[in-house]
Amino acid sequence: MSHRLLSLGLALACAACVEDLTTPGVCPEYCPPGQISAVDSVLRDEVSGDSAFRGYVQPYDATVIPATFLPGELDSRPVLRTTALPSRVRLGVDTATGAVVGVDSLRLQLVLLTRDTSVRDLMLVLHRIPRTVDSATTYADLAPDFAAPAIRVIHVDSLIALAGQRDTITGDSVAVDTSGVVTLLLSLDSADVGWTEADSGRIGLAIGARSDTLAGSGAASARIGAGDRGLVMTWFARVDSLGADTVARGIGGGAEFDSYVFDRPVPALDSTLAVGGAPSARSLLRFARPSALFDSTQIVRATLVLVPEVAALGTPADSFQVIAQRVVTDLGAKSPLAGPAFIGDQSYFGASVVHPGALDTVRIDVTDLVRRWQNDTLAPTALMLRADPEGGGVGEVRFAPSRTAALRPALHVTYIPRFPFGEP
Amino acid sequence: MGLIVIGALIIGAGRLAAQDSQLGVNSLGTPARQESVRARGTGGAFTLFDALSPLAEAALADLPRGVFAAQTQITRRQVEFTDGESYRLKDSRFPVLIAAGRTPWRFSAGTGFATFLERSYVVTQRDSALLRGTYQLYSDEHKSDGNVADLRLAVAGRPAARVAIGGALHLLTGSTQEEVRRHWDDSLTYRNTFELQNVEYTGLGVSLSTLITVTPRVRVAGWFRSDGTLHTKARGETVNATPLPTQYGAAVEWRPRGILRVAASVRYAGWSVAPGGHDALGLAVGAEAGSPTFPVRLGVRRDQLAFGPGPDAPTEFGVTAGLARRFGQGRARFEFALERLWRSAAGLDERLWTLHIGLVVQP
Repeated sequence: MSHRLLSLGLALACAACVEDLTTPGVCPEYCPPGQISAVDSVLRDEVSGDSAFRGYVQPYDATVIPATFLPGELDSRPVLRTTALPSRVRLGVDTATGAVVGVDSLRLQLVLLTRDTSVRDLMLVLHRIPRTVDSATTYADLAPDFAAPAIRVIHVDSLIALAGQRDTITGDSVAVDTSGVVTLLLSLDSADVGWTEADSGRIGLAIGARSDTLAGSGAASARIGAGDRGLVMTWFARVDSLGADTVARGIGGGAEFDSYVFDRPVPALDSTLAVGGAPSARSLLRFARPSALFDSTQIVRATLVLVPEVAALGTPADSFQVIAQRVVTDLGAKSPLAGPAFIGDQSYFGASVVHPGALDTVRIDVTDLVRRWQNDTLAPTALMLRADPEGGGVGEVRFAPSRTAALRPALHVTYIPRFPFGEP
Repeated sequence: MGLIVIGALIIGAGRLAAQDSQLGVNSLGTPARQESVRARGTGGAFTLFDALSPLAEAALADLPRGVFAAQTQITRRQVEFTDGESYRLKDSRFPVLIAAGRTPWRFSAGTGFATFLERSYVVTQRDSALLRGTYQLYSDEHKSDGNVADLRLAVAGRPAARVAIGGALHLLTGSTQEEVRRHWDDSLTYRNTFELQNVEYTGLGVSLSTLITVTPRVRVAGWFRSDGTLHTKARGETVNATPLPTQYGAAVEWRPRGILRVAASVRYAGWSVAPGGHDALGLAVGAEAGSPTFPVRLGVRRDQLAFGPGPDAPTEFGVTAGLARRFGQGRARFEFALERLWRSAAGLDERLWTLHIGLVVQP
């Protein structure tokens, strides 16, 4: 008897351990008291102490260097100085070396990270410039060199269109990957590059962008990789084979200096919030911390609203991103930017695209940043505005500062107030 | 050993709670009946005569020895809205636990807990909100899990041979864990939200009851209860104070034969003092037949419910049946009751099957 009762109790207890109480609400009669409400609010008085600073990324520090031509407005040209050739190279597998006595040719690899695909017949124009090119060199300094005949004009679109994407006459070839990055392999002979022993083989090169004037205005734009994705070259040199003869040797190298020059003066900072340009400008925005909002709500969306005071500078094809990034600590112009706290962390920046020539209001989603401010009450409530790619172009936007009452930066916040638990 | 295991399983099978209803969602909750399985099996007609029902205490005076009782209930509920939507819900609860016995003096004492207000539900809602010029679709979920419990300390005695009286102090306490969630359809743009809060309830009440033996075959009982104010606290602050009703009831029991007992009862609760509440009147008739070893019970009841939309109180009609089986040399018994309920309110009908299982141990 007791065993049967035990079995019955077990079965009933197991059957009892279930629950499903979910029903859709028929409101208001059969809904709980209190509703989740979403509130939209534009905070216009929360930004203060905003300032702009310039000089963060110089053209020679940029990861991309722009070749841009806008007739009558802008001519931006990448400038390069190649590494030196060694004076002697090994002849074979042993340690015997021979002196470099001349070069046959030079092979250059350039990477076009982006280009204006609306342009017909994009041309890259190579000029020799003095090997003394450095960070102090200006467009005006090189103007005579640009006026001289180019050593090579590469018709990029024509090259891409060739069978095998290779020009059998010049030896140039091209490869385009799935992301649209164009890798150019250019062959220059000794007459083009003019090796001189006194210069240790260093040469200066400038690259201009042009397009077919018959089909358009001649405007053109391309961004060339610099630094890690910069110039790669191979000298094909003649080496003295211990007096017996000369032999050919390939010698690798790259750019020991890459930068760009342009024919537009760097605009001076004023009271506006400048972002971008070269050298790059950043703007620091400081936010008040409205405790009623930050301490007792759940923010579902936050947007930084920035109104340009003037149309963004730059070429129409060279749109760039404005990034609002957290700072580790507020040290004014020298505030270090915060990075991801863990893999996949997106709560340190928000971004939006700016199109040069446009006066559109820029809205940057900063939801994750503001929610982080809610969670970390010690975090500085400041954002640094910067451009991306930073220093990689002359594009610049100037937003109205907080002192311009009508156009000042604002924070558009959508939030859920605290739920009225327990209230009738 | 088997008894201990079964008892533990019954206690562990559900939470301290009572039968739920959609009618308690937009209110204080669903008031519980505070009846033992035996009383439930007779539709509630025997409640005032039953020592194991925590509603009234005078019957404790007749306890021959100590007793421990616990019960669980398994409910299947069908909710039908007038728009045609129908949902099947299920839950398991643990509505009553009681321990009572005689004292060295001339009275008996009892303690335990019973559900006073049930507040467990999950309500979802689909809607849209105009944000930044566009309508954003969302789904809300409001979940409440818990109840207000009634901790009772009761005493009862017989000042005269035919009269038993009892009284009890009631501490209303308990909490609900409440969650509200909003899931936006465009959750990449609008972040989902979640809020969790423990809501606490406290209150005090007293009750008095009496049991009078009119003749050897007829007994009558009366009961009165008054509760003060139910205080609701959330986030450490009192956010609501709700007046609780005065309740009273009466019942009569008739024993036409030795193996047959018949009873009828009436209950009234002035829930209109609470916001959205209705005064509720309940009537029950029931019978118990058979030996103490294997009794069989039947009952029928009709009640008004305390909460519901509209000017009129929702109604409930129930038919019940039950039985018990002694074991362990008569020191323990299992009680079973099966209940079929029909509830009707403005815009909603509910139909319930509820199985009550109780374990009573009298060492």
